[in-house]
Amino acid sequence: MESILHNLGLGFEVALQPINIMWIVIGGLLGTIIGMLPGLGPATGVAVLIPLTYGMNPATALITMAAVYYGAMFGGSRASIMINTPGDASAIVSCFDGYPMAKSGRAGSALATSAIASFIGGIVGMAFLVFFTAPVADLALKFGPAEKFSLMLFALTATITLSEGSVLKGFIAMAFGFMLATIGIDGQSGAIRFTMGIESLQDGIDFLVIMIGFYAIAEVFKNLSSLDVRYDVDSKSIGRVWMSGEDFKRSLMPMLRGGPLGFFVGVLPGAGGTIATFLSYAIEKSVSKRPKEFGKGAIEGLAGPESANNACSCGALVPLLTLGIPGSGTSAVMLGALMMLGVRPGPVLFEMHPEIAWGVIASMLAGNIILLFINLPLAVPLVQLLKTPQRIMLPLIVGMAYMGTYFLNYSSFDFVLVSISALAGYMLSKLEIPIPPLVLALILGGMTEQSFRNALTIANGSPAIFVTQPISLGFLVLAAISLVYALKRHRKLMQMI
Amino acid sequence: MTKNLTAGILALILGIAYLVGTFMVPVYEAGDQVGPRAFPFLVSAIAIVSGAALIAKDLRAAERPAFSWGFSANRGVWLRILAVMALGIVYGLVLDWLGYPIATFFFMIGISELINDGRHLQNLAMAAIFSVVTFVVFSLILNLSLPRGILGDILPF
Repeated sequence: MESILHNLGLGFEVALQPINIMWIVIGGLLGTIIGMLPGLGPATGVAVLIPLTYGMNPATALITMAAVYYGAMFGGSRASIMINTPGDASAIVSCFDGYPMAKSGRAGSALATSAIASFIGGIVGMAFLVFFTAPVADLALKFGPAEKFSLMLFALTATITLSEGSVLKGFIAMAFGFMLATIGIDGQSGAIRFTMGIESLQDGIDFLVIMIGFYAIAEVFKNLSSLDVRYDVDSKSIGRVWMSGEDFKRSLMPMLRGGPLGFFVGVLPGAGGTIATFLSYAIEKSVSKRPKEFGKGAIEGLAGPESANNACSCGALVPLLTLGIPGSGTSAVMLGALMMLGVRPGPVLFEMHPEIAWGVIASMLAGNIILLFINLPLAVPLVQLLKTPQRIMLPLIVGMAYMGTYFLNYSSFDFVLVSISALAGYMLSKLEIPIPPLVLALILGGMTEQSFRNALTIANGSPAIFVTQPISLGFLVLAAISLVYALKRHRKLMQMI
Repeated sequence: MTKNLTAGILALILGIAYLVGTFMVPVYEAGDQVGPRAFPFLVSAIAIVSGAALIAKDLRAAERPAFSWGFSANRGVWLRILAVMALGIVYGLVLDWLGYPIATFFFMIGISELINDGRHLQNLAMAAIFSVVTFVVFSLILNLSLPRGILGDILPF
């Protein structure tokens, strides 16, 4: 406990530096704006804004990206409430009751509920983050190659089974990610693999280039078919952005339930905000005294999922910070950006760079307070941004994406790669092949192969090492459970709702 | 052709191509005993088995909705996509030579004309503002190295 308080104190020393406060405000505000725009989620927000972090020290860079992340979570539901169009998948649930509330003249109350619930979820998530990261990091330090391989296998399997869509397509996506990860010179034998004679590929593919293609430019491609969509936002009907005493009373318990739920769902690789919000909604509906109001403007149906969604973004930082395994597309982009700055998140981060790990955790408290103050008084002007035509927004995103690509390696070949990956991302989405397993496999591919080979070398080539080590076996069992779970999940969830 | 069938065939083709590529990976005496081929063999197996299973699942399905890439129905969207890609690649090729401000200005005009077609003045203004603002922010404020190209010594800062 004492060491946690000491580390948290160190974190606040970093987070409360004026430069970091400034970036929390800028990142949070930009994240809110990007998260609010229909079709653009937190992963796009972080991918597009990566260039902002290039000149920063790693602590400030991670603090800024985290601010963009939870800023996007705050903003994601704005579009759900006002125009019944979610900013991203995790804001779908906010449409269920948020939009009916706005339609019945309670838009101000819905926007306030969303902001306050996000705040409470963020604080609850942050509190859990403080107590969970250090023990998990300590445990992870004891992992050998077999445990690391099985952990990554579990992370990948969980991402496939917990992501939306077909499990088979998830495995296909994972295989594609591994294929990309193995391009280049093999670090252990020196063999050149799969470069097709292209010299620029010998150092491997920079996965941030691929992610900018997938998450920024491909998202623009998806929106090209709806360039002339205009959203009618009547800001005069919003009224006062505040919760009444009765609203708060009805929302408090859903918010407090949503926080821990969202956090633990967020910790699971691949689970993300969509599952957290649907689960929270299902729970609130099942415990409510007025279940028939759900779908017609029940404030509990907005408060619980909003809290869960923001807590989920805190949970997603646990595997990222402690194991170096991103739990979501957004944290995958953050991992890539950090590695570019020379920092490898993982258990060693807490020993080698406690100021980075604890700085970002502490910054989340400051960030949530700042975002609450941004989102309550600025709710009406921010909502006006929904009127920005796609024709203006999309070229700016393309410009930022290509610029960000250039900064990675100052290589013109990366422009070819980012263009191809954007096209590939668009085509994969047309085929409903999920992107998160591909991205995770691309990032973890090198480490997975290295652990696999090291473990087999230690065991003289015997794969039994993966099941004779208890922790490794535990991860493999979890991977198997997640596969079985996937077979029944969708049907059950839909029944609960 | 359905969506699943297309995805399955794609996985199968890529899986087989990757498997062939794996056989071409040189194996040296040095290095670990597992070698550089073992992991790629596993990966190609995952792609081939998953692709084949998806094809089999699709062929057995009761409902098989047709899938189209929409090359003709959404011709405008596809042409825009290809044009954005082409512009991006050309942007990369001329960036060092033309310098960031000029190359970005022309790139942004091209992209804006593709997406925000017909509004030339608006696009011109947007391209100019974007290239100047990002150059100032990244080069002068964040101190990142950006090529000045043909502007070279003309820039006063």
